[in-house]
Amino acid sequence: MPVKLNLLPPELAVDKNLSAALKLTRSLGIIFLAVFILFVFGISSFFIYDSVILKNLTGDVDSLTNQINLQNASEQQVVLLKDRLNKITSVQLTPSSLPNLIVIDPFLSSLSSTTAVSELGIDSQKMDLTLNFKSNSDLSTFLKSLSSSDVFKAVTITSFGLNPSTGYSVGIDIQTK
Amino acid sequence: MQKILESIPQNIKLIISSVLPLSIVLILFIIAVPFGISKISDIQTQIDTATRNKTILSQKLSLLQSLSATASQDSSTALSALPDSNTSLVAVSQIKNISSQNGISVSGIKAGSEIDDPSGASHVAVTFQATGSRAQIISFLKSIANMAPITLVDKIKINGIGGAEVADITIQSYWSAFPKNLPSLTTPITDLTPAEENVLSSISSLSQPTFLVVPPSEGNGKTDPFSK
Repeated sequence: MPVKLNLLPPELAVDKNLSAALKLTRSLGIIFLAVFILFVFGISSFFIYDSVILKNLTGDVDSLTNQINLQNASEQQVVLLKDRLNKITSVQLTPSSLPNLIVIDPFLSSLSSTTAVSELGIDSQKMDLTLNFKSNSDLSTFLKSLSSSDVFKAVTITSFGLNPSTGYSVGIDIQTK
Repeated sequence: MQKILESIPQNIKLIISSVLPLSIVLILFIIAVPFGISKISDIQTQIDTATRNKTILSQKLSLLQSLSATASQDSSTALSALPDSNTSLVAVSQIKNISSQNGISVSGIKAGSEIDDPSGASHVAVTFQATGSRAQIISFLKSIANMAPITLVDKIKINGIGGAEVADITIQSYWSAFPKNLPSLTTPITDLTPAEENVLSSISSLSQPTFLVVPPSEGNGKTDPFSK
């Protein structure tokens, strides 16, 4: 039967619990060191791999940049073209009085030869007309044609006069849609 | 030193020799983990940016190569529709050309001062009197609205005098300064949208101003500018 001998002086003897705790601590130290080495190795590998990818990408970007710089004139023209087109679109949205003239023209063209358009003022919002009608029927036909049309927002007679020699003088204010 | 070490109790020596390596490893962990993760995060961010830039630049290069054939012609058309400087003189020239084509007599042409629009464009109001029949005036105004540079008919006042009619007309002629700078290299550019294609198509049909080119004077001229 083996005999367990402890030849150490009693002042050097270590408590059993403390010995177990120290053993556990040493083991933990070794495990953490191994994990740390693995972590450093993993991070370094990942870093090197990413650096290679980044280097390739940077090379590609530099190459594309050089090619785009060679197309500088085309880029300027495209930027200029888009700038002009955007501003032209904005300008074309500005109201114009020409559509109103085109709308009212058929009504004026259908007037009889005895009716005179003495004044026609047009802007983008409204039209002011002054007409001289020789006969009552011409006047009523014209007013009916205006009132039956759905192209105007509002038609208002602003003045009305009768002169035995020139006939009816009518001022009309037309609001456009 | 030796004496100090000998004076440390054996238990303490054992504790230190066991705990110190673990502490050192833990300290290394505390330092190395955030450092390593931040480095990886930085390089990942750079890779993301480079990938995005590469995609944008590839698309930009492809678009520029496809547009390079037509960009010059299209930008000239757009520039003629919306020049970069005050268009009052060109507008006046166009009014005279178009009036003669429509048999209209034009007089009293006046150009106002330049007005800046909210759109970024600028315009000048040009007023004049046009004399002719109403049909001629309407045809003339339609031609005015279809001329380069871009022009809007602002106000019309037609007075009937006998057979002929006299129209006081105000038009607005537009221009816009060039863009001050190019967008950055990695700003994506897009192909023309259908709406932009439509605008380009509409301005392609605008009647262009005709300019008289004065030929250089003939002869050798004076060799000595101070001689009589």
